[in-house]
Amino acid sequence: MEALFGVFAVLAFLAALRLVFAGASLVTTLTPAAVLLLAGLILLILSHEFVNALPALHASQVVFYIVGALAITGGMGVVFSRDIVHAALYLIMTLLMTAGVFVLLAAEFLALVQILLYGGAVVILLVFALMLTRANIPRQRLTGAQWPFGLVVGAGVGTALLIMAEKTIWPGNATSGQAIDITRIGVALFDSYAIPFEIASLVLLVSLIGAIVIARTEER
Amino acid sequence: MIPLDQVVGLSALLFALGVYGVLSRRNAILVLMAVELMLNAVNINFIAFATYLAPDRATGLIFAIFIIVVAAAEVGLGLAIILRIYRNERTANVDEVDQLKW
Amino acid sequence: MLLPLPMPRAARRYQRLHPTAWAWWSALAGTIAIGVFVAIVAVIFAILDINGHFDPGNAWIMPVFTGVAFILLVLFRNFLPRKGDFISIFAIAGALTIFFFVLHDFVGGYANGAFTVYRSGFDWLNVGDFTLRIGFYVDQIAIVMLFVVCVVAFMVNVYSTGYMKGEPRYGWFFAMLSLFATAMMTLVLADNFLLMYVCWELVGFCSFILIGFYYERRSAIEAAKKAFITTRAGDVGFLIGIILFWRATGTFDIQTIINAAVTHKISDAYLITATLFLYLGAVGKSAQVPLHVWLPDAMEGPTPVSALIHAATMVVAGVYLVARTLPIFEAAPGCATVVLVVGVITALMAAIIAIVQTDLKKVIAYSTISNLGFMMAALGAGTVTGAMFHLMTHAFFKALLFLGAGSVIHATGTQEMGEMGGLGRKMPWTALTFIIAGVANAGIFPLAGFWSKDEVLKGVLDHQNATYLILLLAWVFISGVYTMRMIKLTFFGRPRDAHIYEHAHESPPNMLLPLFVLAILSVVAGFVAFEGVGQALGFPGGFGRFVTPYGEAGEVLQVVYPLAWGATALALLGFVVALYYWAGVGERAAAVARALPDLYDLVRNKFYFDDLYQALVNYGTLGVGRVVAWFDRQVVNDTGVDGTAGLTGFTGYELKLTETGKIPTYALYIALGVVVLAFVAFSVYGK
Repeated sequence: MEALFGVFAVLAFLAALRLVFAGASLVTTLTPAAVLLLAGLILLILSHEFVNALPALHASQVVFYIVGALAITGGMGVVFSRDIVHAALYLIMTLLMTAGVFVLLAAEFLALVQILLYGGAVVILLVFALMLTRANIPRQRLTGAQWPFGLVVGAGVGTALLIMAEKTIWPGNATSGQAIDITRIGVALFDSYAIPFEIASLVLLVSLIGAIVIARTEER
Repeated sequence: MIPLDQVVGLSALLFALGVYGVLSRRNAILVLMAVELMLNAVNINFIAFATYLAPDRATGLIFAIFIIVVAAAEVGLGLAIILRIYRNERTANVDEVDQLKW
Repeated sequence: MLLPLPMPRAARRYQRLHPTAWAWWSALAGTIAIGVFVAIVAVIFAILDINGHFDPGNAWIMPVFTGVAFILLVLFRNFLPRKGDFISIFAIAGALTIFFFVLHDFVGGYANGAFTVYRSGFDWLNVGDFTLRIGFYVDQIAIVMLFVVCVVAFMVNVYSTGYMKGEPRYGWFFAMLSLFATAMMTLVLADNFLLMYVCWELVGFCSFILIGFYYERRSAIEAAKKAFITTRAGDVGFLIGIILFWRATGTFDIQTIINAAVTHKISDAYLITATLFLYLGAVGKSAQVPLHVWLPDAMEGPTPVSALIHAATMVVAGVYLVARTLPIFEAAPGCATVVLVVGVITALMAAIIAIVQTDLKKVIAYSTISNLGFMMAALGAGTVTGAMFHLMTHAFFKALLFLGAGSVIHATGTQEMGEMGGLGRKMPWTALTFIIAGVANAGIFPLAGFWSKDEVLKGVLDHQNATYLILLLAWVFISGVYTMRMIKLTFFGRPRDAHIYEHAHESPPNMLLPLFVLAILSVVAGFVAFEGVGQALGFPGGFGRFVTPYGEAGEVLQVVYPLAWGATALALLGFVVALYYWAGVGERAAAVARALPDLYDLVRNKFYFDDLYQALVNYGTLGVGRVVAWFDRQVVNDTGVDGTAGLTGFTGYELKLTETGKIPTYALYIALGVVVLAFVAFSVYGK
């Protein structure tokens, strides 16, 4: 089954490459990706492995693969896109796909929180910042000079994490999970984690004040 | 259900992309976006562990909530700083803010 | 701050006194002085003495006298009238007085054919097995040495009041004379090598100061340095010898070491090595070849210094050392022969050089070296009696020669014999005493030198090869030559420099008195060889019985008359030859010199020893110095210090580029660190 996952990842990677070397709009980028995706699916269906593995394949797994691929595509868009606003939009895509993964993992509350906060607040904030710093006006190169090093390090980090994921013996059930009751979250928030909860609110307060203080224009 | 390895693998890939983005993007806001990417990857990990390995406790989910909170706060503050720098230096590129060099 | 002491008075010009007045006042002053120090001595005796007996082991009180004088002079000399020279004279006179008591009681301890040896002292430092002791050992050899040191030091002190009058640092001179006397007497009394070594170095130091007394002169400084360094070279050997003996026996005590050596507790090879190292010290101090080069140069010092230190006392420290440890030299196979051979070579070589010297003091200096060689040869031949006897007589007539020369130099202002001549008419007393000393030096009957030389020659005849005897007889002849040459060129003939001859005058009484005393001693000192003298002093036997080789029955001093007459005849022949060749203005001698130019040059340049040493320094020391300097400059400085600094700077210059000031760079470093750590963790914990 890892092979399938890998295939989809490759597809997403190709889409990102398209982004890097063409830097065109969303539509022109995603269309070939979707086409490739479909083609891959068809090939898989027709292949032996897929047929053999099909009975064991859960619906949620397929959905997971699609959502995952799209998340990776979004991630690639963020880091490889040549237009900054496109990068912001790719970020939204990633965040939404992450919310989808949360749903698949039976943590719906968190999926909603994710959409609400990230998609509704953080990204808006980022776009406003883009506007205020006129990030789009001079059409300049967005990738810095040390990108080969970044690539190497990123690949290294990814490799390390993947190896860890492969080799770890998970203490518990690694194949199927159980949904966690939402009431449990609520209870935990106000019972065991009450103090971090309060502190989190403090953090927000501080960040609020800090942002105002730093970003305001002083009157002369 | 989805094998845990694969979820963690997805998270790993997203994290790696985030790392690359932090290290190679010029605009500071893009760096922040990449940081968001990394935080999201971590969130996926936490929730996966909570669901698969410790379903009797909600610890992973709580942690993920707090991460989201802190990420939001951090983005707000970070953008304030970027705006300040933009006002002083007329640029939001991290490459060009290098007064503390040798 | 004003000290409650008499302040120095302004210089007072003494009016010319009539000779009778001089004599009267000198006698009166002398009587008072004697009275005063007799009183002091009596006080001391009241403290020390029990039953009217003076324990000879307490002979250490003698150096204490001069030591106290030294301290007083160093501290207070500028506040005392006459800069305190009388303190030095009183001290040494007091020491001499005590000596007579010591002698009396030492002789009184004679029983059963042997003298008792007296010891005293205390342990100064005890560290586990290791003991440093300040100890004193009084035996016959020590008695003889003390006598010599006290008498000559006393004479020199009195003489210096006249000779050094008006010189700058007058008080300091007497302070150093006192220090020297202290050190020398302690050296002689020491019972362990370490104390002896300390005093050895101390006398060397005094010699250094006194040679360089006129330090405004470059040549004096150089001579002082040369003396110290040359003797130092010997002293290093001495120290190594001491340490070797300590390693073998675990003690510094001389008698214990002699015992160990004689009873064959030390292996032969080790013993020979240690003994030869010990001998090196004597070679340096007693100016044997090849470390003799410092003594002629030491003539840069004032003449009283030459008389005291470089004729009678310091230079015989080496002879004393060998005499004291002679059983060791005889126990180690071959060492005694080494001493003998080196002594003979020294004697002959120095005597030959003395023939062609033109500086009066240099002639006497080479004569000293030559006689030291003779004394060492006596020791090497095995006769301690002869060596100590000659040491004593030589001290007297050599000191007399020096003081007489000092008289001449004081009167004429020059040391070159080429500018003297005919001074006998202007300075009769000086000439008379000088001639007596010269005759004693040559060994003519019946003066002191005759007896002591004969004793040595007899010893050589008894114990050694005839070759050595012949060589020594040749030496006697040459001694006669240079002695008569010296006398003739200085006091007889036509004056060569009219101006100097005009101004020459006889010396004042305080300079003449020591000359007389020493002249008398030069005449009578030899007679101690006879038994009668000894019996008068209270022990059976003459000098031979007195200074006995260890453990053996004393030798009765027998004069081998054929040998003695033969030696005298040779000396007289030397006189005749000298008178012949240097008659008139010395044309015959000059003709000989012209006929043998190479030989003359060789001797004139003192056999090129000085040139050899200078070349050694130039090529050796300076060469090594150049290499070391190169190393220091190139390796230590350029590569080491500068290189390290440069490397650090360079590294910093290159490494600073990592601090770009840009955030992405630092983020990269962090991420890189994380990745590396992750992989390291994998390799360590990898599952």
